[in-house]
Amino acid sequence: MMMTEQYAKTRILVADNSISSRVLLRGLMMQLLGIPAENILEAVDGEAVLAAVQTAAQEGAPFDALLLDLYMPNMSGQQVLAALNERGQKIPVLIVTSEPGEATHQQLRGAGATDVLVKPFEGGLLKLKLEAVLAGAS
Amino acid sequence: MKTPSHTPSIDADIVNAFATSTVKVLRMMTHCDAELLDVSARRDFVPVGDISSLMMVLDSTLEGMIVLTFPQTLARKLASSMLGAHTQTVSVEMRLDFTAELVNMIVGHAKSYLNNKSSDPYRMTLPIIITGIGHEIHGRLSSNASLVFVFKVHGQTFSMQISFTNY
Repeated sequence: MMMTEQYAKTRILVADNSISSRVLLRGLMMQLLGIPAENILEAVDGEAVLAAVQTAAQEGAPFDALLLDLYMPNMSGQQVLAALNERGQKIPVLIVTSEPGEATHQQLRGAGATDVLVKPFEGGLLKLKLEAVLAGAS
Repeated sequence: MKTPSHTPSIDADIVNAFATSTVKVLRMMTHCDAELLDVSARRDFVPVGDISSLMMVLDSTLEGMIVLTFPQTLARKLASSMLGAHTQTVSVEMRLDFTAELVNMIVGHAKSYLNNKSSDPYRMTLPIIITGIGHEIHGRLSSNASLVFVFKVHGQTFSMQISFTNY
């Protein structure tokens, strides 16, 4: 299967208060995995994440993965994970963060994150980790 | 690694952590090779530039402040290097946000080295952006010297100032 076809229907939510991070992640996912631009939605804080996940589920088009920043205003990535768990909303989560501590990463996995991608990162590593996250979800 | 050009004493681990982190972050995210021109411990340094990003690191015993200061043209070039392939226009908002992301990544990456020295891992605050052509940033966290790094990339220089309460 061609790369551009494999992820043609994949839906991703990128949650990061940093516009440059969102632009970079969106661009890399389009370029490296062929995910269509219209299938990549963005949220700038935790409350927007929860609303977008709920709306997508209600519309019958749930996200295949959530790329989640750890440090955001109002609601941290950990709090978003906890809220998703409380609401029973199952979604594969790739944490994208500058936080390098392995202890923190283990806590995040324990809290429901599928994997952690530490910034700075090569585009190839994002592709590898996101493909693994999506493969686990399918 | 450069030999410090000024006294007083410098913690080599901190110097190496931040110098290595800065070069690595710029290479990975902007594909630009930054060169460390100078590192010194100074009490008289006042960063001057057009865009600065500031972040605090904290643990139970100290506070640290890291300030990156860029000329506007260099910040624009670096932001374009990272984002230009993915967007038609690198807006002012993106450029400012990019400098915040840079200090975030540099401190985060350096933290992985510094945490090896401490049983009490550093916590990081959200970055703060300061703008204004030719602005100056005054103030340190103590009367002690700050560590001042000067890097060169794209033929221009930018500075990184690090001060700690107990350094």
